[in-house]
Amino acid sequence: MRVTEIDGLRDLWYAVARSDEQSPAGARRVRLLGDDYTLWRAGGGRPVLAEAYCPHRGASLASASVADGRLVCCYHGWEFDGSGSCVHIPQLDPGLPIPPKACLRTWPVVERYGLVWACVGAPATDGPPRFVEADEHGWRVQVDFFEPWAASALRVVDNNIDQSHPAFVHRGTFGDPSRARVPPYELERTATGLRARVPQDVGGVGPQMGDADEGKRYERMQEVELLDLMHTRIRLSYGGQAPDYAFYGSATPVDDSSSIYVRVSALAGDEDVQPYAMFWDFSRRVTLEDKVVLEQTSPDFPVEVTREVHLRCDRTTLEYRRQLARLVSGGAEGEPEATDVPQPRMEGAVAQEPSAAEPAA
Amino acid sequence: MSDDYGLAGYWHPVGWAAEVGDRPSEVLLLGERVVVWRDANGGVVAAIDRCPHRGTALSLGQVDERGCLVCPYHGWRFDAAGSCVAMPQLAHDAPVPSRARLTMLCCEERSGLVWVCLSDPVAEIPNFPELADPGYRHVRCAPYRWLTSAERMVENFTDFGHLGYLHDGLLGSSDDLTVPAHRVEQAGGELHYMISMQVPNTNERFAVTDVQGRRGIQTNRYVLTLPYAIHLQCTYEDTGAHRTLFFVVQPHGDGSCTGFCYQSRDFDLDGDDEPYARFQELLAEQDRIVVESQMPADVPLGPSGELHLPFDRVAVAYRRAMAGLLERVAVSSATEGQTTS
Repeated sequence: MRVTEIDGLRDLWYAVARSDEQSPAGARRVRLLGDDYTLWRAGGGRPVLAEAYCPHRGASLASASVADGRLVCCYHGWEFDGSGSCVHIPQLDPGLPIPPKACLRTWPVVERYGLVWACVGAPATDGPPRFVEADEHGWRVQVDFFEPWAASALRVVDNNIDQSHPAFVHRGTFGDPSRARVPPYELERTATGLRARVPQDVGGVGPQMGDADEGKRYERMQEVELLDLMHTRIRLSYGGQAPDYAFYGSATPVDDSSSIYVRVSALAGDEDVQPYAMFWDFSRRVTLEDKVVLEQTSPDFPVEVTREVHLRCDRTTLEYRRQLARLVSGGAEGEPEATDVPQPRMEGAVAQEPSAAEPAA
Repeated sequence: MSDDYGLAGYWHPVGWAAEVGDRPSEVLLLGERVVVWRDANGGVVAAIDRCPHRGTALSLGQVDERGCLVCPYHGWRFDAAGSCVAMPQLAHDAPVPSRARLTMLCCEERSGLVWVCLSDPVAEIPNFPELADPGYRHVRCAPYRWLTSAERMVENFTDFGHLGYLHDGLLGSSDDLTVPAHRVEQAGGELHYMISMQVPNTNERFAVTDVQGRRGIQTNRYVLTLPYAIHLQCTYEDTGAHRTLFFVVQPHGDGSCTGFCYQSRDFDLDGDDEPYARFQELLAEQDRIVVESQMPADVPLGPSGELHLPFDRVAVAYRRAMAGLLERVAVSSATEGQTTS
């Protein structure tokens, strides 16, 4: 399925701008789930997401200027406040009221973790999923990436929780095709997604912890979480051997075939032991390896699990498809009937299904 | 052509006459590819730009010394009436099949422009009376090719609310944007309206206004000839001098349009034309950026499409008239269909 075909995805929060790039002086165009919007900062710097076009003559409000927190249309100078109400029509005779139809529809927006987030559906929460490390003391938190990718957001999220690609896709950084097997791992379904704990023995990741030696091997625990269907968290714990870190990766669906890859990281180490520039350079190389592959993927994402082949190590991405299928069928709240979600063909037939998560066959 | 059907009965400009020379010109009008060339007498002729033989664009070909259009593919020759007069591949003495004809279109040269009508004309070519008046000096502006509909371009030309805002200091002033009262009257296929307003003296930047002080009062009289022509006469109340704009738009039918504009004056007759051309170019560029952003690109003709305030009277009247024009033609073509079938 294509991302705009899944109505339930409209109810999630998406990062639509970096806080540091949304100046108080101008408006910008935001495209989300195939529709256009205008983003600007109203009084007090509060970000506002509103319609893309002026209700008067359809001029693009992305070309509007912002004065004292009011959006000023470039064509006739109509001014809109942060609630979307038109507060000034320069051509109107003094004393005449502004017509109530002269207003912009607005959508909920919050600013967290260095990003501006918006929801253009019916939000179930008052903001994006919590980034626990960002709310805890002692972590250095920064936006690593906020960049357009020519790939479906579903593909980007899927890749974030995928356990079987690193050995190949990341062989230029930390992957090793001769160690492609993934050890058995625990997977549990959570209220809004899933959580898995995958023990790893990896080489090449030194720069993430501040050690430029890429030859060194580490044993680590990778905790992978799908926080909701478009947001992921990966926590890497080194048991004291090196500083831990966490990635919050998500994809803002621009339209069916493009998205914005958004990643926030939290580092446990201080700058002198875990230099951010070294961390970022390495992350950049890894991310570009993913991007090359993802930008070749089809925008049609199969949520029907029988359409693909799944291995035991693919339990995270298999569960992702099942949860998407439940959202599509409107059964997101309850357990699916076995007939709703056909059992996939599992190659090798050795998969141990997560007990709490699976319906009785 | 579906939606544009009603527009086919009107005359539309397709280019400056001076630019149709020895070679055929290719133009796009309401989605039709049209070829324009000059016959042996120098008159302009137009046809659907398609050779009846293999559908080749005749505009890629030549015009011969007898004013015949020569197809670039097989060398067939067509005279100014559209008849094929030579097929080089045909055996000697064999008659040219009578079906080898071009679809000819109504074509006229008027006011320095070439005008084409795609079906039987239902109206006259819009008039530009000052062009024959020796008291005027004329400046031809560069054609404006914009990525929007002809209706948006026409509406912008006659939109009062944006003058002092988008063209602050040039056509008005942002410190007073209220629009003086005005009335719009429809007379047949024309809208007539008039407005008096304050205009800034731009002469330090562009020596184009006949205003003495910092600001002057200017009275604008408009005749909008449906669907896409505007004659605007500006009178400077201080001196009684006139500046006239004659503006017509070619609807390409592919989401773009081209505006042709004359700027004429009965003052500064020995002056330099360049500031007038530059002034209009700057205004057009300020407009283009905004108008190309307008969504939807086709003007909503229904009454509830966009928001209209008292100062948007002209747009409301224009949309109503255009809706009527298209509906009337749609109705009459439907009844024709019934009687002939």
